[in-house]
Amino acid sequence: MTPVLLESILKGHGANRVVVANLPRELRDLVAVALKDLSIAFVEDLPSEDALAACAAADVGITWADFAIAEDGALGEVARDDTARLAASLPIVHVVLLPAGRLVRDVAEAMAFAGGLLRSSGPGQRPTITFISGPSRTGDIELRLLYGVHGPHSLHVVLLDWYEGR
Amino acid sequence: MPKGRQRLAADVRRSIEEPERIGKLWEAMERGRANRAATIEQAGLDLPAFRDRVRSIKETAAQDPSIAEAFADAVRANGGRVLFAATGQEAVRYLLDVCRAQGAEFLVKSKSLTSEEIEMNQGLAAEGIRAIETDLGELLCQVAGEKPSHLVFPAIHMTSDRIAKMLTEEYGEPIASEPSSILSAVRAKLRPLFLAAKVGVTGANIGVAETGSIVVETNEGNGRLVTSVPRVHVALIGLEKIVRHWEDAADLVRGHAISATGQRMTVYVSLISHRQPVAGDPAGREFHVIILDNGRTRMRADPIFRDALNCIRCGACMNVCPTYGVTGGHVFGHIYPGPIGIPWTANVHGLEEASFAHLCVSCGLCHEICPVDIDIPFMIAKVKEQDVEAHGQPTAERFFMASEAFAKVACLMAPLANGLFRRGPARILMEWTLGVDRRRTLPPFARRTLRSRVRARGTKVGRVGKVAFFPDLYAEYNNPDLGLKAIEILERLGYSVLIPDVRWSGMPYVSYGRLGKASALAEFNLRILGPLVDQGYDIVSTEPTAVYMLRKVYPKLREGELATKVGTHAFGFFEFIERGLAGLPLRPSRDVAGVVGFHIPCHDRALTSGAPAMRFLERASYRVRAVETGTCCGIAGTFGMKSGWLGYDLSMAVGEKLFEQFRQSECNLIATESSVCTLQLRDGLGRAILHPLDMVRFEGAG
Repeated sequence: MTPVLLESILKGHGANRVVVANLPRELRDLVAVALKDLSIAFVEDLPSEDALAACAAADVGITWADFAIAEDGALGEVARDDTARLAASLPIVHVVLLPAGRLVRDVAEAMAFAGGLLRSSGPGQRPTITFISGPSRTGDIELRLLYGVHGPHSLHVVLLDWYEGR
Repeated sequence: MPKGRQRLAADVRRSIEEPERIGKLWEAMERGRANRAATIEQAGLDLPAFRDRVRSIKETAAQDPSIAEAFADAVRANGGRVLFAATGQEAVRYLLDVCRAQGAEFLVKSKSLTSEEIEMNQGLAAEGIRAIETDLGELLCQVAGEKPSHLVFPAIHMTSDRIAKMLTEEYGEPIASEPSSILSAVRAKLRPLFLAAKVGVTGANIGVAETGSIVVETNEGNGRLVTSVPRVHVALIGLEKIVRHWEDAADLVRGHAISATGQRMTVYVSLISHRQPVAGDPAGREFHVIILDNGRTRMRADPIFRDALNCIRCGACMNVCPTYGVTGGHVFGHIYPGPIGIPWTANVHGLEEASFAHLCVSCGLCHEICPVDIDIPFMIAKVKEQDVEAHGQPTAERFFMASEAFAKVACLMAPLANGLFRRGPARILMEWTLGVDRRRTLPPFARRTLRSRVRARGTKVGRVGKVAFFPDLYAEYNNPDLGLKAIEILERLGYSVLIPDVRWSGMPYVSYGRLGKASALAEFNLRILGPLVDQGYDIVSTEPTAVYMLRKVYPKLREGELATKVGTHAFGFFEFIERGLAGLPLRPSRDVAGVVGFHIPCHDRALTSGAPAMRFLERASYRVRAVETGTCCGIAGTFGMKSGWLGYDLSMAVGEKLFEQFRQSECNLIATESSVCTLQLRDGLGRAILHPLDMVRFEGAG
């Protein structure tokens, strides 16, 4: 089901170039199969100096969220390499895979969870954690809500009920 | 008039002459307040408890210098570099060194108010480094060469037509004024700059000491790009923004978003501790944190201005400020705009830049809306005090601070005085000599004061309780009938009533920055009221401002047990009588067929928001609804009696929205409790304005 879903999302956006980052190893094949007709790059595998250009040239970025905040509809992205954030921020479409069981209730629980992760990771080894609650937006022109100002215009979240997460 | 105020008056005049701009700003503020209220409701937030928590987190953060030290150690342990910058120049110099080491000719920035505080962009430009604002609103201000006019919506003063025209010129290609076209053009223009940037600069909404991390909150996602693409990330953070633990950060993240835009959280909340490698390669990735003092340590030591350090920069105070709503942030602000901008400007940019303090009308609404319960009005009064000591005080303000003495004399010669106040030549003279605007209706004075009438009438002994009635100027000198009616009701409800030998409540001393006089007056009144409270008296007033002074301001002027005790026993008239009303046979004395439009005085918003008075009218068979803009009617005590642009004109410009709402409300009666709001509504609407007590009678009584 998941590959079909992914394929339809990407088709819907007329995607050509896709970058993938921060996925658990065992999900890579699945994504590769789903997107076999498209140009797809697993950014972590590229030489460091090519990663930025690959993300900048892509129309879709597929990344991973470790958890989500139920009350706020926010994703919890845990990045230990900045390719995760580049693949999520530069393309106009962002698709996030999320294990359905990894939910915290609210910001307080999310912050406690993130704080625990940061503390236990140790100095210099801490991940960059981002709560993402929608596509890039602005109200700076006459207070009109507009999407896609710098980051993605569209955000899709694919909930995986068959996978527990890494 | 002092020079600073002359300039200010000219600015106000220009603002009032731009009704279209005012309309847009007003709409933005209304939407900001409505979104905030809706989200608080939807999130089921217990606001008082939330405020207490945020306040305690911020107070600890702002006051304990060891937190910043611990934060710096943790950043270094993560491999980052830290600079404690005493001044803005130090911060800019450091940033220049970083840019030079990278060979960077420009840098990309996400929004940082703190960088504006130290005029970072100008400092960099002077040394040939271009700072490119990437937040859309900030970018628009940068292109226009203007300062942000709102903390959260910097370019709220620009229309899309103007933006399109401006960017067409700047980018050299045609851009349609449709907002989506503007957006695409900006995205296309900025993208290559993001990709080529060697240095990215952000502010930080929060610093967290335990892991040496910062929190960067954005909606546009520019913060994500600024902190991931460039090799070097430099974060600038005010030292008051650092908390100890992650658990402290949760309420702040909620508070920022809810109060700023009515979002539950901003779209991107990034918790950043150091750089990450790119595709496994950590080479050249640097993280620098500049911890800025720039006057904060001095503010920390100041018993009054330390409260400003608790600000979370949400901008809610400017969304409710009545005169900001007319003038906008360019007039009502230096670099930091709005109410909280006044104490910040006076402390980090100097008193000379803070003369916009005199646009504050002391309505107190900024304190009410502040998610950190910051007593902004009191700090503003302090700034006004410093300013009038340095630059002098206009005659009108001196006159209104002498209102009590004036009222005494005016009563003695009431028919003559009232005749003069109605007639042209005397009012022109008053305007010239005293600065009292000739267009403003002044309340007539009574021949006999409330006290003399109560003395003549005698009082009854009641068994339910004892009330010390606080008349303030209006019920004593202008409308003793109102005071008598209130006393009569109290006696009918079984209270023994006396009028203590207090003076007036003295709000103009606070509004015009004479805190020493305000404090002496508070002390005088408290020394009389304190013993009465000890004897079992409650203090009751028909004037919302008097209750506001007793409950909210005296405890601040005279900290200690006495003021607290008196404050907790001070009540608004309708609030006080509400419990006993069941036994009172109230009848309407006016037509009840239509609807009563009720105006809530600002000072009562801090107390009961008019609810008991409206229920009182409903009990007397009226249909009542609040007609409100959510902010002040504009007169704000005696502010709107002062002549000219810094008084009457600004006051009427503020009131216009409310007048319009009343005109459209089709209410057949209009009521309010405050004596001064009554004047404003009468002058604005040309209709009779009633006190709720004027609208009832009792079975078997007059």
